[in-house]
Amino acid sequence: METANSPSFPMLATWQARTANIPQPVRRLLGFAGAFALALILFSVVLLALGKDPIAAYEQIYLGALADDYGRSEVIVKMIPFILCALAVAIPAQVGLVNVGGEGQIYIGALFASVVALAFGDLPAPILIPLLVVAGMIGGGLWAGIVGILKAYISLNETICSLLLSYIANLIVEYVIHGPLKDPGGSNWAYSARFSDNAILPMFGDTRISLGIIFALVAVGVYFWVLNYTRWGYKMRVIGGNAEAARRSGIQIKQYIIMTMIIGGAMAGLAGMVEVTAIQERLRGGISNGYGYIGFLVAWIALQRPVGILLIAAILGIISVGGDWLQIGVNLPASTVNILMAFILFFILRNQGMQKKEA
Amino acid sequence: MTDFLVLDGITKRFGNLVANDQISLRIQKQHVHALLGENGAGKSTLMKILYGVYKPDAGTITLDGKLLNIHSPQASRAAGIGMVFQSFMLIPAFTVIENIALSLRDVGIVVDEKKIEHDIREISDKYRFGIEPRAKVWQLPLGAQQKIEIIKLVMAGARLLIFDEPTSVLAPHEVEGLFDIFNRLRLDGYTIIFISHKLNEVLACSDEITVLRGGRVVGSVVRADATESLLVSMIVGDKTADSSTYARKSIPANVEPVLQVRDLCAKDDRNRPALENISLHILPGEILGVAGVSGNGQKELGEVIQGVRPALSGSIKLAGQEIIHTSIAQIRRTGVTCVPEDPLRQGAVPVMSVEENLALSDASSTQQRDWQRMNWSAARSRASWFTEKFGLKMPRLNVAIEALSGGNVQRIVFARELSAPAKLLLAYYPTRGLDIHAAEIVRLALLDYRDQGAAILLISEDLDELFAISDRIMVMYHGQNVGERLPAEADVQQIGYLMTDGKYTPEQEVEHVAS
Repeated sequence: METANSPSFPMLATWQARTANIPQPVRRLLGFAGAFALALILFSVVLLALGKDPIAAYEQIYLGALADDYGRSEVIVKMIPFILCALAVAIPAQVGLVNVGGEGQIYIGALFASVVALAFGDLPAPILIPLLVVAGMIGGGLWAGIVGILKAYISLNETICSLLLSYIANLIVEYVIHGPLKDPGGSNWAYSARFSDNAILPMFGDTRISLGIIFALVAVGVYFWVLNYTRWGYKMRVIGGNAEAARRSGIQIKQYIIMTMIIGGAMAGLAGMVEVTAIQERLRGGISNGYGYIGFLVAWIALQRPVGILLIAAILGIISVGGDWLQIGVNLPASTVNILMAFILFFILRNQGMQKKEA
Repeated sequence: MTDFLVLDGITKRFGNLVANDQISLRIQKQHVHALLGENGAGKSTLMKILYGVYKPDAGTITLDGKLLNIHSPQASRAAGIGMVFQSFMLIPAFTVIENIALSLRDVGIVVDEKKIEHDIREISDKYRFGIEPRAKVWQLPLGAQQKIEIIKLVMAGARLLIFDEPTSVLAPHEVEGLFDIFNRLRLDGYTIIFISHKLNEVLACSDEITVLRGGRVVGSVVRADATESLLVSMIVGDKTADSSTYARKSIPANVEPVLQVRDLCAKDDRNRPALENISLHILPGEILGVAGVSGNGQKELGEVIQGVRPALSGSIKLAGQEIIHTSIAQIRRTGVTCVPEDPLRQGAVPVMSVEENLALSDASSTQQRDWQRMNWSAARSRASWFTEKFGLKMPRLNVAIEALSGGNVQRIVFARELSAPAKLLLAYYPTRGLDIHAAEIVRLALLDYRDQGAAILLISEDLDELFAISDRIMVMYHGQNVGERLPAEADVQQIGYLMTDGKYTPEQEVEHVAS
């Protein structure tokens, strides 16, 4: 007990003593910025090792993502799935669950939406689009709900279960686009027929920003409200904070496990629906681009907080859009930026660990 | 006989609490030396100091004539001190050989299993342990696992063996076997310290007995001079039952009990019987104090009543209504509230603020729907109401619970649970961790709550407290209700006998009077 408080590193101790009178929120922000800076520096080292100029690479990211209207609008396009998939992780995380199955929930949401879009393509858009939203959410919710039920009733590990279900979801979509929903007109391509125009989400101006951004913002708003103001959010936080105290207070933990998984999955399902109805305009394989995993990064870097999710989704959106330009500018594969994202998560988590120790 | 271990002036403080106060102790070579005392008497702290887990604030330890500087368990083991803890340090999936190899310091990179197996067989045969070295630990009963721990210590070269309540995991027939082992180890030159709070066990196996109370040594007696009554009076002290401090309301005859428990059975976390056909009742406006050494079913009794632990058989009626097989939330709504045994883990959310924690008792209420806003002003008023009515200071509302001391967590949980009227209050150690003044306020608040008509089940380790505010005292022993007394008429010694032995017989009475 005593040894836990006594500093084992003298340098750390003096540092702690010096920073002790800086207010907590400022300290947190500084720590956050520091972690970010460290990630950028370490990524520079990686770039140097690859024989590339880091300054040029960062400049390329800036030019690609922020310098013009097109780049900026593309950042917002990326933010839609990032935000929704972050919510898919953050909502179950409030009761202590680790949902890494966002990928699978996206695919099943996209599949459900696609089936509705193809079957009821004749319906007018004002009726069809709400139906698509509901279908996408039901698909994702169902896929995550399986995990919730298994967790609640037979204590199956939700992390592994949600991860493995993602592979199954991916293969189901592959089967469907090679079989039942294969486009009859599309020679031999493995994708569905193009959706009717009524099923395509409206866009803002001539950008690719769809109505999906409204869904994402509304979802974050509702999440913020429920979490901080309602009894529902309160009970979720109690379960996440101390499940034993929650149980003894009469909170129905099993219900909350299942419900938060379903709602989280519905968010990822909604992301899948937006992806097929706004970007792809048909169901095909590989639609997710790892959004489920990036959503996980967003949620954890943001500590599952609503405003943080918006902010981090924007930052990772910039990195992601800018990354696509690395190929052209400095001749690096676009996926190189995944290394940068991983460094950011790593340093942020390490920073959180240190702040916990201080407290 | 020579002094093998000499402790001189050992003092250990935790904040304001003095866990060990100037403890001096001499233990003879080849003796079984028992340490006896109530919970919180300081036995465990003293042994953890000896084993190097805590560093004493003052005092010296001399072993076999050499002054020891024990700063870590490693140093303690190197000096020849070994400890068998209540929970064993074994890996269930490994074999006995593998577990023992893990504890040896001089195994090379390649483990010589043959040699270790040979050594285990030798020790096992010598002390008649009957341990099969190639068995997996999970296949073995707890008694055998304890023997593996002993083998570990013997093979590591320990000369002083400390056993922390070793009988708590054993079935009655295994207890005698353990005492046989003590005896054989003793004859082989080992010295044993045996921690217990069971009188009969201590009398059955030890050569000398030291009693601790409130962190101090009350005295040491050799076995020949020890009698049950002497030990009981040493353990509980010269308490004169004082039940006159607080006014008591007389309860009208013929009222229906609030709580009626009949023939209740339940198991503990290790699946052993914890409650064995216990029956009790509490009237409205009555405090039933539960005396007993902890671990005799007090915890499980409250948990079964709250619906947190399943009952195997029996019945629990709350205001005439059967509550077994209903949900925790329903039982709470029926009017059961609880100040839990471990408020931080069972009744609070450490990462949340005081204000948010004050709202926790709303969680099972159905007056508001879940999508509605939280009623924070109601939560806040729980603390302010308590401060206004009883003058007990509360910590600030925006502080996280994890930043508070145990006593402050206790205040919050206590105020919250007593803020709404309930039919039954389960109060576990309500004054634990509080200073004298706050403890007094908490007792007054309990009496006030009782006077409003609630039934209170008061579980406490403090006999003075039980005598002072209970209307009736029940003694729990081995999951049973072994006797009830009115505080005004009860004798502390009788209660002491019931707590440690489960019975109070006329012979004991004769012995008691004679001494």
